[in-house]
Amino acid sequence: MVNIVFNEALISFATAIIGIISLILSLRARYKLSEGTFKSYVSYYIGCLLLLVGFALWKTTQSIFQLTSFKYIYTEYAFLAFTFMVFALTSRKIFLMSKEFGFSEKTKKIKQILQQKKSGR
Amino acid sequence: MASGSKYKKYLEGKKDYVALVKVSSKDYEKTNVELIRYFTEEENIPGIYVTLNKAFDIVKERLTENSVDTRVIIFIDAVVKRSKNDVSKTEDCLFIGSPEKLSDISIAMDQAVKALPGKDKFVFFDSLSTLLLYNNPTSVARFIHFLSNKIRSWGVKGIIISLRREKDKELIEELLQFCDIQIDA
Repeated sequence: MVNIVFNEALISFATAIIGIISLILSLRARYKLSEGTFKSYVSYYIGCLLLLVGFALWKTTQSIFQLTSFKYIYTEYAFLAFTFMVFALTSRKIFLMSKEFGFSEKTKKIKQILQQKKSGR
Repeated sequence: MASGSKYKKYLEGKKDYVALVKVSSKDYEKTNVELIRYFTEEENIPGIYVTLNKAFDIVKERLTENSVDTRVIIFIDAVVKRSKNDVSKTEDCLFIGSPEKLSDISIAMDQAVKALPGKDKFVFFDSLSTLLLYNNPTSVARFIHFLSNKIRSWGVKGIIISLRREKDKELIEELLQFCDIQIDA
């Protein structure tokens, strides 16, 4: 039993460390970016990472202190639900970015014009 | 077409390059039109026009007036803010909203270059001088270094327009090391 608790705490802690490293890298990237759509996307992404790191730290605490009552389990679910909500907002942001920065619909049109111009010469 | 041929001696036969075009404010508009006409009419290749100087509508109007086929050009306008959103788009143009948004300009250019059909394409950056009004010289130098590397990795023909001004002389001299061709228009 002690072994399982120890392993769970260790895995959660290791996950949190990986999350913190990702968070530091993302914050450094955000700092280097100039204002605009891409920077705001990175901010959303950092929000997701923060929640995931928070979740991993919460799991570590839960394993170490054996917080197994319903109250704590509900807290865990609430955390997860909130994390997914922020993920949904981030996905919406990516979707909007693809609409704004995507030019694929123009490709076909330009191709046709160039072919017309070539055959007209 | 004779005026377009003025740039032929500098650009003809070259596959991919970064050219810095120094121009006086008097000849600025004429030079832009001639260079774009050279690419779209003489070389018959599509391209991207990044405008930091004048609004898309004005640039398009000026080019159309001078019989340039703007249908093969994707415009990126970093002058006009059309909506409260950061970025907005029409069929021909992506509006970034401000010349300070260098990250957004870079992403937009990358996406636009990759969307253009064929191997031969051009990137027209108008202008370095306007970029300097909104960003510090170090950021501009870094951006131009990044842009010239990108132009090489995309394998396209890159034109960077700069006004011939005394105060930009030092920076332009520094930036010349990143460019393959220098044109005094």
